[in-house]
Amino acid sequence: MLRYIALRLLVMIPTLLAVSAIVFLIIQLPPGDYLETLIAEMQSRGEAVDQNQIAALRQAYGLDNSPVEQYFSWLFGLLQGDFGWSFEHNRPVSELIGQRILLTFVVTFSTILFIWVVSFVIGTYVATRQYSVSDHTATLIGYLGLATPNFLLALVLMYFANQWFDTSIGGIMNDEYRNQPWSWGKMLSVLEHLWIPVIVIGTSGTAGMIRRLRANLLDELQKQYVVTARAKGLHPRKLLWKYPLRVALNPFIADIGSILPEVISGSAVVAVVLNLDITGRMLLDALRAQDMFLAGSFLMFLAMLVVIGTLLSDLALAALDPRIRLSGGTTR
Amino acid sequence: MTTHRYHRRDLNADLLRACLGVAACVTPMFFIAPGAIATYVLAAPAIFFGLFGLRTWLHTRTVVTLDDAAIEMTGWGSARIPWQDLDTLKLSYFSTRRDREAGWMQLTLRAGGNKIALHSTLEGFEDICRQAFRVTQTRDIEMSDATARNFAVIGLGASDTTQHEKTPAALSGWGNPADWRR
Repeated sequence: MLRYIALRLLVMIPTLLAVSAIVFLIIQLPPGDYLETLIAEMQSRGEAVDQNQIAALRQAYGLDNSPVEQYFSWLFGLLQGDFGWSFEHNRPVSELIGQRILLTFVVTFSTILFIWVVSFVIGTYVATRQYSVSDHTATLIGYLGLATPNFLLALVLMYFANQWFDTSIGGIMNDEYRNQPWSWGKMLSVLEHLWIPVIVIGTSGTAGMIRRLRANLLDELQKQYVVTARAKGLHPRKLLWKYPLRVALNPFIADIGSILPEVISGSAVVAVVLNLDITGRMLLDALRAQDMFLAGSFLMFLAMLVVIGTLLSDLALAALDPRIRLSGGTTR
Repeated sequence: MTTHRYHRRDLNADLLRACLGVAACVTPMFFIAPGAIATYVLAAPAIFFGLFGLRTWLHTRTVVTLDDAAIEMTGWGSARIPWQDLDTLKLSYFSTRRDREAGWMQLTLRAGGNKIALHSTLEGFEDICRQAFRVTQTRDIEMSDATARNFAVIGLGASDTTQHEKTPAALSGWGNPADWRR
């Protein structure tokens, strides 16, 4: 296992370097830069543009350097914990993203937990009651969950949360806690608001996971060892919990890597609709304004999260199911 | 009695990987201000790669002796396991590739507090697996589904593979169906 972890960590290094280069390329792709966008905005408002000041700013931000120089300067800064300067907010990026990254982590972790718990319960229930009314109902709800856009669900839930639970609409905490240090009250406020984004972001993932667990569990339940165990009189619940369910749970672990990017990218639009102080909204704004260091740092952080998530998922799978690939089929 | 050592070429490749890992993590640390968070982020994998390198170097000194009575490993983590005392064994397969190809195996034998873990880069690894498999059959030692499948793939218990697919419980760690209780 030590060798496995070492080799996976070794692969992560060039992966992250490649990701950083791609991220930088993507944020450089749109024509122009932040200052050109600023000039265009000022001119559209009829304001005078001081070319000398613009040239000074271009030099100060290093925008007159070649893209390769800018990339290495950014990468070197990242390694030193200097994420650069946000043009839009006129503040260091590290100051801007600190709290948002923590809240993003809280929302993402809660969403994944929600997806696992809900899909485990419903998936197991419907697989053991195939073609029953509850199976068809859960299947229908699952398809609805897959088909409903997140922002639409967000709008509906915002309305009902306000009508039924008297929870303030939008935001991940009450306004008085914004930009305040963490306290017990702030934590409770986050918990009070958390359930709406968690349900909104998690619903599509839950629907997909229920279908996968149901299909896997049904495959296992139809195998001969289950029939034999039933014939021997093993209690159905004991049989289910001890044998087929364990095998059917592999996709839960294998999917950590794919759920993370889904949840994070899915949260971007929801963050705008629900006015959440998580990374998604600021990332969209930064990309729109070509705030390259802010956007680049966010994208790099998200990519790192995905790479680490995939690593953890692969490590868990390697520990739980260290099987060789059989010819003619895969063991996963 | 036979003696087995790790292939030098495989160990050299792993040592090179460990050095690359340490270099990739340590080099940026020279350019970072002391105490920066990045220092700790890079130090953790650097220590890990160091441990991996140390473990690989220790494998160069490992000698495994196999006979009908016992298996003995000398060098770092020396242990001797008489076959008659073998409690559990596990044959795992690891691959870093998405298609699960080009991986390696690890055989872990346990008896009481003794443990011997061997990699498939060991010369004559299959002979050791064959001996261990024979002991599991004669002494009716249970093995997990993954272990049984991995043994089947290297030709041990291969004749049972088809049947195994049909009734995995018979060869899995879940025990013999005849022993299942209500």
